[in-house]
Amino acid sequence: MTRRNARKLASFAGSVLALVATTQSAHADWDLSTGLEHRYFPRDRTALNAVDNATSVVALLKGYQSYGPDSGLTLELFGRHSFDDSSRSHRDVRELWFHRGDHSLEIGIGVTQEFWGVTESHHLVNVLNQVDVLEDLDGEDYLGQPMVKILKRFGSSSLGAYVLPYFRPREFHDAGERLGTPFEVLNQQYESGAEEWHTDYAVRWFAQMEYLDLGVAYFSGTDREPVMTALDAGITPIYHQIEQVTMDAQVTVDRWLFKAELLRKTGYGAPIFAYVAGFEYTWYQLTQQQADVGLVVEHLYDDRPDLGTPQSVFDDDWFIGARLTLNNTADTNLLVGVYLDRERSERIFRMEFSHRITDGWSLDLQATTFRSRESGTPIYLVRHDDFISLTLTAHIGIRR
Amino acid sequence: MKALTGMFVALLLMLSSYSAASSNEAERVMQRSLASDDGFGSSVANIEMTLIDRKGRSSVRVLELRTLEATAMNEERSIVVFRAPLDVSGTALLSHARTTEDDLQWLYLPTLKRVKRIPGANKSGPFVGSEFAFEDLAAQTLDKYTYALVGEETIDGMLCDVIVRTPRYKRSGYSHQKVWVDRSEYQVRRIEFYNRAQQLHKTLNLSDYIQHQGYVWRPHRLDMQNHLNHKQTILKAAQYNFESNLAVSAFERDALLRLGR
Repeated sequence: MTRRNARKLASFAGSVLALVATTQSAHADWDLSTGLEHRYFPRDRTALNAVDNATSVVALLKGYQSYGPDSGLTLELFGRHSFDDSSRSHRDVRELWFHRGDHSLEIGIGVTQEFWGVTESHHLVNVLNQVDVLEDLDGEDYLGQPMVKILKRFGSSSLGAYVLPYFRPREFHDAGERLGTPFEVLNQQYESGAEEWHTDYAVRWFAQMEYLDLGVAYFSGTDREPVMTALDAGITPIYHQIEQVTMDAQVTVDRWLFKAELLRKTGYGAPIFAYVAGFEYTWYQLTQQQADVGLVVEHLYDDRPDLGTPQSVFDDDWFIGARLTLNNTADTNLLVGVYLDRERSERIFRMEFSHRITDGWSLDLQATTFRSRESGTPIYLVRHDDFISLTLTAHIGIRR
Repeated sequence: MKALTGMFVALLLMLSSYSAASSNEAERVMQRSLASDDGFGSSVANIEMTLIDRKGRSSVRVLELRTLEATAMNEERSIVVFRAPLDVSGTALLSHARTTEDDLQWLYLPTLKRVKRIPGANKSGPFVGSEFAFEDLAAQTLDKYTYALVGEETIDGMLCDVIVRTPRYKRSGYSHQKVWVDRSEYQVRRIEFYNRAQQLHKTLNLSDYIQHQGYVWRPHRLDMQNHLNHKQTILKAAQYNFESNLAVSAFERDALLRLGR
């Protein structure tokens, strides 16, 4: 870190603390969950460090301090320690976020996670936070992102402006480890001379109507996905400067949800166009026990060329998923989904099951399989890494 | 024959005027009961929900319920925030409940920090695994039902009017409900819910009424007994706060992101 960058970081942290100091304490809540996870990989992989069994411990500490009805400080610390595949061990500040303001005008400063979008199979327009690849390849976990946010609301619509002073690069598994590449991932490079200190900007307009929710966003800065480039003895992730315009829409009618996310990204020669679009339908109280069943069908499309761009897994794929909610005391949930590539013979299958054993203890079971016959695709690299994981989590809460 | 027809018509007229009177009277009783807790504005309640299965095993959920009184648009707004069990702590559900149409609903998922708009067409569905349906917990505005007064009965030493009300919402899970309203404090003491097959499905007993702010009546205990699956749910309100003066904007989608996770 250069001296200038250190000063920039110090002043950013200083302004967060100054804001916090101006307000008085009201009450604080803490939640701690700690889990023990075991992953089993049934298929052989030739690399020496590809383990068949991996055990890890994970912890998430959440704290919230309220300073009256219009401001508060959120803290969320995450950590995982893996006993078997060392590069999966990582820590992250998911949130250290101070927000102040009422419904019409709101400001926030610090580190946070902000979710944009509506679709289930892929979060195309969700650009502010970097994906936490070490947690899972499903793109449902994100790293904390330092930012300043100002949000102004006009009736049922809102306009948000975001300044992102620091970029979080992806963290990868070591070469040959499960769910990583066979090649060593070298230090990342940047198109911008400011590297991770490039200031990124985003603007998002969101409107909510009786049947329609609509978001339009613009982002300018460091692309969250790198171009994986074979250089020297390994692969170098290169982060380009991009501009993108996205739109996300959901129409809610009866038991139907119609959803679409669209993206146009420039910065790699020809503009990239991509979308995810589909529907979700729910059958309520299907059984005597009042279970609900939801069906999700989405089409994923991306027209980017294979070379010179960040690789996309979903160029022309169908996603078909089903969700079973038992509406029982244990909140039992089952999710199954499959991604089917229309051109390549590629397939990803995923199953997630969650269940509360007793108050304070929950159980999660997950299975993922990858099928690919086309070498060179991201799925091909992990084709032997099908896994089943079982997680037992204990939850503790402290209320003051 | 003509005379007979005349008599029949007269009888019909008498019958219909009788039922109109009973429905007017029934509406008046319900109106008086509803008016006894009008004008509260907004409230925040801490609720303990105990689910008891057919074998008597129980589990407890702790909820914070924020309510905004039905506005001129006849739309009651509420947010339910889960505090326990801890694995779902922070999960929140925002509802804009409508009288005879589908509701608008949003679910906040704290792990993803995502607000998801969900179908509001599930009013007859179970509220978080309990024996209460969403429609059982929604505001009971007068125009949700049509009414008929069917008699009087004494419950716990209180003389009650007994009213049969029929939901006007097409997708209601009930064919009709039988409601007991007492004559001294005008509060609903019991409701029997009859399903679409006209079977007695559930009985709700409302008790521990407390008058807040000198005028707003609230039951602090609700016992719902399901006669079909033999499960039971008990709702206990530890406290009601009517002084938070929550604004309409505190019941919009984005308010879910500011709840304090």
